[in-house]
Amino acid sequence: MRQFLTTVCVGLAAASFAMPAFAEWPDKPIKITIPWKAGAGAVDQMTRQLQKTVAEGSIVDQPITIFNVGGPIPIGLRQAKGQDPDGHNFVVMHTAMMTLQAAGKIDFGYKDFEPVARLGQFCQTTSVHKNTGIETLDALLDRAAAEPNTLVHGANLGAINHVYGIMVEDLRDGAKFRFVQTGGDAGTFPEFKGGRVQVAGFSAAGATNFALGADGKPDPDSPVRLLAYAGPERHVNFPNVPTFKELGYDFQFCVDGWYFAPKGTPAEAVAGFAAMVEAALADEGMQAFLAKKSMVGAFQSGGDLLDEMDRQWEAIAPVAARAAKK
Amino acid sequence: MIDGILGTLTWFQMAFILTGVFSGIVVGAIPGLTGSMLIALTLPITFHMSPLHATTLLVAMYVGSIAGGLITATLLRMPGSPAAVMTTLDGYPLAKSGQPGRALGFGITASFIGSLIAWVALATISEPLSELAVRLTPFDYFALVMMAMALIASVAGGDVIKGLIAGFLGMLVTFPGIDPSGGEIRLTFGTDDLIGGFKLLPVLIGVFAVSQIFADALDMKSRQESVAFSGRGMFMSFRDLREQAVNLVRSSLVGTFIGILPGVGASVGSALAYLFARLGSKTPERFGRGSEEGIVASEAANNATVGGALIPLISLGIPGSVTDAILIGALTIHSLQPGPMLFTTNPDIVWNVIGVYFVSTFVMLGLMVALIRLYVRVSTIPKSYLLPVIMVFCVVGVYSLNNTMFDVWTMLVFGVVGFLLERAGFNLGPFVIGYVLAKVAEAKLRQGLMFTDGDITPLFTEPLSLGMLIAALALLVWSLWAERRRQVSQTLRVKRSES
Repeated sequence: MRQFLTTVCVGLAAASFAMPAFAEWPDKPIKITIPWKAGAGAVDQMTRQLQKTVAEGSIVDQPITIFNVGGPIPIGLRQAKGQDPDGHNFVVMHTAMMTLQAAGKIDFGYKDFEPVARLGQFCQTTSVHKNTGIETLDALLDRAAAEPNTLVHGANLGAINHVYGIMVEDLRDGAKFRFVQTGGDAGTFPEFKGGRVQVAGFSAAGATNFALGADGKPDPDSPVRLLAYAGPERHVNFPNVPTFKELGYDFQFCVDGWYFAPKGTPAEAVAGFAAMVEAALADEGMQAFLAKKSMVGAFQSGGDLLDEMDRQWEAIAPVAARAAKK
Repeated sequence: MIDGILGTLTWFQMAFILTGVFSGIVVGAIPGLTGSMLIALTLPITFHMSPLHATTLLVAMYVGSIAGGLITATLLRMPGSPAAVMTTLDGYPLAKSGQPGRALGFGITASFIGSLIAWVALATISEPLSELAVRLTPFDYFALVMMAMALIASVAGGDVIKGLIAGFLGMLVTFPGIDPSGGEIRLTFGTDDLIGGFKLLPVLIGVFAVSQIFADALDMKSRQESVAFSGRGMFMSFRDLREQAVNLVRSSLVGTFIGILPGVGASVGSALAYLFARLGSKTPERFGRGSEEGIVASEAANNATVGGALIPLISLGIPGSVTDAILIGALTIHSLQPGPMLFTTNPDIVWNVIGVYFVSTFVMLGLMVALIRLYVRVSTIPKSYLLPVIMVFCVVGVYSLNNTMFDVWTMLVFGVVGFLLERAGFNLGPFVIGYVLAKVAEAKLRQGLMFTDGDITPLFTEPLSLGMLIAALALLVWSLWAERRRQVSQTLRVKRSES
């Protein structure tokens, strides 16, 4: 018993040295707004996992409460922006923050918040229907350039997978897909299976579900042929699929799960939250969760985070504005 | 399959089924609270359960919640869930005419049989059915929705022009918000709140439940109509069953098939079944005035959509309904990926879902019948006590849907709209049908046009969509003609009695 108490005391002392900010922050429950419905999407589930990991690992001594605001993203995002910057209000968001702003659907953006941390990310893939006979990314782009506006690309128009599709066609002069409203991964797959959609930009998780069999190998019965992965390196789920970089294209497209705080939130709380995210990311349960969702843990905070956001904004903003006009 | 069903019959599993079905019925019966809400709220609790128990509880809730909607729809003309809207059209008039037991009994039996027929399809031919469903093009969907649209004229309740106006008003309500195909924001007048448009639950609860609360509140002075409960007619007699057999099977099949189609939903399923029942009826004039056939069609179909919607979920991993989308979320949280591979990777889960759906259907029947006397008492509670409680549930339920006050305001405004429409002699049926169908119709038509690069001819040249469009037109003409003939014969009868 004594040994146990000593361990606990030493542990607590070590923790208090390692994370001095936690002594003052948080002094009440941390509220994270999720600007869409509960259970929808990987970033919602990622935040629920964060809540669980933080509670189980006693990473901070206050609980996290999650507040889902349903309906379109701008509603919840605006609510979160207007919250009291007392250091206990946060919001989780992903790349759609940029596509929405570029398309003029919100009149604010990431610069109107305090960027806090990136937890993880998932990257997109480009797939074709096997009945097209296309086997490589180059063949796809050649076809899209030779017969512009004929290959049907399923997408949620104006949203992330549409912006991604435009960026892919931009890789070859004259290449044009015909974008059709099919929604996200779940909405696009039935159209794909029905043979009406030939090209799709599934997320890594979608590609895993739709193209691979239960044994993790490519499913011969699936209509999906994966051509390229837009991550920094090959995805562990489909190691035979090359990245765009390997194929000679300087192109990467990942959807980041970002945490923000309202402008004016004390730096101490921002740093505290970021340290909490980093600590949670080291947890085994969190790692297992990310792997299950075909996501990659990719912690970032401070200046690095802001630089990365600026880089993405420059790349995405003009394309998203075009996507909105299409 | 038998193993799957037997597997659900452990005490532990039965406890989950009972809890699930019971809570589903209660939540389903309360206007404002829906099954998908219950399932979404239960989801975090299931994180700590085994995947088998989690799916058991959630599927049982789904079954219970759709069936529960008929209770308040019948007794108070307030659909407990959107799927029960069509049930209000006949359930309430029949209950009001002194036969609440019969109205509920018919609804319950139809719910049971609808679920069973959908279960047979789920357990036997789910794979070919889903393969068929993904072959339907957006134009086919559009033509199908047009068939349901033909219903507007036939539920207009005598005045076709007023019915059409109400239908168009309903369609107008779907316009503000993000357009369903291009993602453009339209008619929001610069407010963020309207980006999401007027959502299904607040509008339906407003138009039906809140407007009824307003009407009842104004009518408070009139004496409480107490309906003496008699068990008479509660169970369908053999003769009833024989008379309703075709209707039951047809409505269940319609419901099952509509359930399979993603994004169409239980309300459309029951509307379409109602239309077919009216067309096939010997007494179409009783529809909307307390027709047993109407209740049976609506309830058999909306319950069948549950089983139907589970078909693409299990065989393709595609959600057939909003509730299914949450169920998929629940499965993936337990690292189960719904889809064709689920049969290979986790056959136990697949057979468990199928088995639980089967057992829940019987539990639903048992609980609904056992509680029927209790329900009927609801209509004897003084309105001054009942209405505030229902109003509170409506507000809480609609708010908790998205955690936004805008939805509550939407509900209240549509309560006033519904109230005024009724006072002006408009029927609410066409309004709701126009509202529910217009969004699907627009999304599918425009999606089809994107696929064909703006060419609309395939809509009229492909055999399936053409056939359904002709059927829609025929249904429309037929219902207008039947209505006209009914009016003429009525006038003649009046004249004859005068002379």
